[in-house]
Amino acid sequence: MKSWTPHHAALLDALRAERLLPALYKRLTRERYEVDEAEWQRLSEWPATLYREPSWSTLEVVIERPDAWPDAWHRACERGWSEVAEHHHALLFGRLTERLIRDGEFDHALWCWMECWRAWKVVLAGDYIPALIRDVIEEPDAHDEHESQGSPKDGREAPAHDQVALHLLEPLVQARAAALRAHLNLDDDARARRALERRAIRFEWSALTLLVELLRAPQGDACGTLEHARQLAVSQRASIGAQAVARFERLLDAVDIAQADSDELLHPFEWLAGVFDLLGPHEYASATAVTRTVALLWRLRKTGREEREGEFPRILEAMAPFQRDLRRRLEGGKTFGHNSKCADFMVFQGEDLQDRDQRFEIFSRAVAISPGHRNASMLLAYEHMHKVNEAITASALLPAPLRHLGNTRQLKLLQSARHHLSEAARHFPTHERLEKYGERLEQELARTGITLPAQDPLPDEDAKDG
Amino acid sequence: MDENPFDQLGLDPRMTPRELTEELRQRAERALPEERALLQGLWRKLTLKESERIRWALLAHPRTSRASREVDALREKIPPYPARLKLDALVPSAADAILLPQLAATRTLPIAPPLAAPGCFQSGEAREDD
Repeated sequence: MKSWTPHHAALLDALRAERLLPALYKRLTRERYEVDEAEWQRLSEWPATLYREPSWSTLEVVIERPDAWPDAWHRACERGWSEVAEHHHALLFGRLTERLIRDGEFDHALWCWMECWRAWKVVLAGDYIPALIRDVIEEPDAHDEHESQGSPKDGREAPAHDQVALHLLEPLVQARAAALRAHLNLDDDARARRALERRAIRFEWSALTLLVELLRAPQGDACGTLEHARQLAVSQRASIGAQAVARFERLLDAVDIAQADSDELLHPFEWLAGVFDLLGPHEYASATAVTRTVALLWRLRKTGREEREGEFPRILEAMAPFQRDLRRRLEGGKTFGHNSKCADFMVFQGEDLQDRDQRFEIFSRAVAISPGHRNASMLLAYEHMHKVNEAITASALLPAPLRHLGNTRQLKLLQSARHHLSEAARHFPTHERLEKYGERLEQELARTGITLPAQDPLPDEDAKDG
Repeated sequence: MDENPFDQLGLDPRMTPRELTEELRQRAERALPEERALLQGLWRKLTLKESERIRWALLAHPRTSRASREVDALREKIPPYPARLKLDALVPSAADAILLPQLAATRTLPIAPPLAAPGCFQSGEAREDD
């Protein structure tokens, strides 16, 4: 054209926007939303920006093919966009996240949330935002003398615009944390009982967790914005976990075990189990849940409510994940100080088990976690005595001359009996049947004519089966 | 989060308070009274506190003054694009399926002007002024 003016360039950009924006918007929203007037206003320069970028060629060929998205988008992002383009993307995906959450489209919302932060990482990596701030800040004498540059006299205070950049993305993290608190009913009255919105909670928690992961090692963070957002997400996650535990304690304190019906009694446990099923293991939650549960179970036992309507096993079942987590931490040496309560809990669990092997295992673990734990030691001693009885009985069924034919089964059984007898005596020396079982073992040894070696080897599998 | 005033007004976030004031003053002069109050509110939002203006600027879509102003100028000159016109959606109804007698008859007629229409003449018919 002979006289190409800036007006023509602007018109061309506007025409490109007319053609590309509806398609781009629809593809990125996975065909859910049409671009509305407000978005037209905000994004009017976005298509022209993309059009001038090398990565645009990846999208241009599939702009009318919904099935090629979002893969094409990811490929284009891998090739890279300029900071200006990513600034558009960060803001656009931030808005889409909110809209999709309102519409209950949590999977898509999580994708948009991650795209939003991926774009912010690019925007905040280099000099783009500091340069924008330099463009935006006013000359000191031009306007607004009361607030613009912080306090230059006080060298300790950062300039106002640095603080703005540092806290720029705080509202995004705060919004997720606030929504999570609301969905978890953390601020509800202790007696309020509302069902948990599991999908929303899972989304909000994942959003914070994935954000922490994404921002763990940013390529650059000129204003410290990303690290600040990451630390905020970390602290919000920890504080929400602690608040959930605090609410559990409030709920539990509000239960009058003399008057409460089963639903009221079980509600705090079921609520906490539901919450941490979504939030994942949490050391403080596990320790508190186990400690408070044990205290309540003792009270139920003392008040004679233990047998009522299956409350005991239901509480134990709801709290079992916390016990498992605490036990793993104790066994792994990652925590300490709750050994006795954890062993108490395992004793309660073991008491109802019918399977002897399971009982033996759970009491053994309880004693290993809390050596000398009275109830666990006593119950483990009983299990050892049971094994002594089994071994002697099995041996008694075998004819004594069998050993002359080279059969060692009796020998192993009686070795096993002696081992379990000594273990029972070690764990619970005042066991009333120790003496009687000792006499039975001596009688069986005399009957079979077996002399056990002085060294007491551990029983092997044959003896256990016997 | 509140609507960003820069995005709402289609303004370049790099504009200084002085430029913002001038731009919004010009707009307010042309605006209706209720729009003027809105503009005044947005102007206050953008210019009262420096830190707020910076925050809004960083959270606004990048925009160039040149382009936005030129597009505004073009908007004054050219009609809206057809694609932007919103028409009511066409919703077919049962009535559309009914062929009224006169419509059915019309469809069978050849495409030609009506014979008895005033100002029309049969072929070969002499006109009055001939």
